Amino acid sequence: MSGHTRPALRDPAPLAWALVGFALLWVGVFLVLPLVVVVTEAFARGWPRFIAALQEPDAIAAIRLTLVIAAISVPVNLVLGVAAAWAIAKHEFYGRGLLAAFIDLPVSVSPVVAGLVFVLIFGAQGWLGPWLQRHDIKIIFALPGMVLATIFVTLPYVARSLVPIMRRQGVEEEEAAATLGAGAVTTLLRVSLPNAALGLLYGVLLTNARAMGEFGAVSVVSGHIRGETNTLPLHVEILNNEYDEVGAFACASLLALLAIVTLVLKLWLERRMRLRAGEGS
Amino acid sequence: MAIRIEGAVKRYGPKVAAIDGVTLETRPGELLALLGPSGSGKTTLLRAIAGLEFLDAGRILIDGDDATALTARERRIGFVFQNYALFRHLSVFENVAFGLRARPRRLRLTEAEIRDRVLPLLRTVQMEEYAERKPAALSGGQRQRVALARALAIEPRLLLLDEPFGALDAKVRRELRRWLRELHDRLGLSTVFVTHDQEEALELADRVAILNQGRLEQLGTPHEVYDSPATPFVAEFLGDALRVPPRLRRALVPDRPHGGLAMVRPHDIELLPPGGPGVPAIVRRTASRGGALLVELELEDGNRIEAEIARGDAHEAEGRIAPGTRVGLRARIAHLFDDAP
Repeated sequence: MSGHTRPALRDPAPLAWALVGFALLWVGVFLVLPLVVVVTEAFARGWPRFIAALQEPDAIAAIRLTLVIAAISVPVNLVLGVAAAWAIAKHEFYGRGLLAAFIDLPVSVSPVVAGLVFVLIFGAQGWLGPWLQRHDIKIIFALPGMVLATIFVTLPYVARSLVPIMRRQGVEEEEAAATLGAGAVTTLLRVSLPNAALGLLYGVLLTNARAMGEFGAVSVVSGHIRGETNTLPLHVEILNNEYDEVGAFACASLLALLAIVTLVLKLWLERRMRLRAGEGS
Repeated sequence: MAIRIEGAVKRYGPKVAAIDGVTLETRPGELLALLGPSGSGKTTLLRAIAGLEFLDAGRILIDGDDATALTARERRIGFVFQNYALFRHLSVFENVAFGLRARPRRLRLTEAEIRDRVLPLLRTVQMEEYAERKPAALSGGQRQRVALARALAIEPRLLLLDEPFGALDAKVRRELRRWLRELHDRLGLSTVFVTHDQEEALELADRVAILNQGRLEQLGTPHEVYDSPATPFVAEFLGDALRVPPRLRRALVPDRPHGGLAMVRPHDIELLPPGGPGVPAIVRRTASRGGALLVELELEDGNRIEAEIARGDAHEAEGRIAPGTRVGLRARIAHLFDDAP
């Protein structure tokens, strides 16, 4: 590819500059500026205060809880997502379109609604509430509820990043595996997944980012018990409400760091996927 | 190893039948071609034999045992895909070893046993030195040989090839054709391949099954199907054939002047001196068609037909085929069919 555009496709200079300028301004004000604010506010009182804010017991508990929730919900959604993507992309069955549509549901449902649904099912006044209470099982305002809510909102990402890649690769290699005597599990593990490995990684990355950053759904089912059911995003809100700005921004900067690492990995993966696609054709 | 297909039907939707009542049987050790135009159902039939498609009606018997309900995985039939379908993330060696590694645990081989099976196969297909390459780094012909070795690794009861030479350029195609025929004779493995190329089918196969619109038109040796086509479709599909119009019938085919449809191949048209028997015509143009000469002839009514004569003949007939020469036409051989639609 040559670097310059054909003259017929080139916009007049002033228009081009105006468009580029507008786009840069937009990105600057809405994306870069907040990030800069988070970091500068976090360090406003210097390193020691920043470190101290993160070493506070409640902050450490929030970080730990966030990691635990992600450590449970990411693998669960990895398995669910792979199963769903494999079914949708490689098989023909009645109701396939419906399944594909349902997988996308959590994207369009407000996370708060998702949280409320779980309260309605598992809460003290909910359908299963009395039964759960009799057996002394706590789901709402406890870890299980928060994991369930997180699994719900992060459900689509693995399947969504796998389906297009798996579909593009067709089913011939799977058919070849079948004629060679391979069963479904062997075919999935040795053919379908390795071929879609980058897409899988991409899906896991997005799932993880969302799982750690989720606020709405988790907020509804958490109960906000400090040191117990507060995740990092919930902790940020509490600190902010209490005018502990350094604390709030210190914790927020961790989330911002997660976002930046995710973004860099995402760009790298996208590049690799483009290269891979180029090889294939 | 013999495969018998009985009354096979495969439908896509209520009205479209990809194969519509095909019955045929392979003979042990033979190389059988499934030949037909696109949409004739030949690939569907091949996939049904492999277990990649299930039939809506009919049966598939492998050595007399009903295999209709067996999955592809259970049939142990080697399949080479048109675009090879090599596992793109695995090396040549691992591609060939795939079927051995996929075996159920109790039949699993050791690493050394796998090597002892894979390396001779790679030698057979002349790919030994490429064992560590990925499929993306191979040429089309090389990929095809790897796909073949991979299919042979499971010691299949039958080998199926879908358009084995379709994606290759002409020169490689001819080389591979000869090589494949030799390999087949050496292995003695019953093989069925799909092609749309008449020449390929006639040259390579022991027998040819000609399919049209999901039905079997004829099954026979290359000589049988070419020399005595069972239907007008077969006559036209295996090389050119002229449908003789009724008004020319008596003069062109004097020994069979009445009844049904007569068809004549261009190389079976004899050029006679003018004024004698035969259909009067004028030579308009000649063109070289490799070893043969194509002669374009204009009939008295202005219609044109083509005849083909061998180059050696041409010298003999030299004076007779210069443009503008008058000739008489007669069919040396004609194929006769009951009245066709």
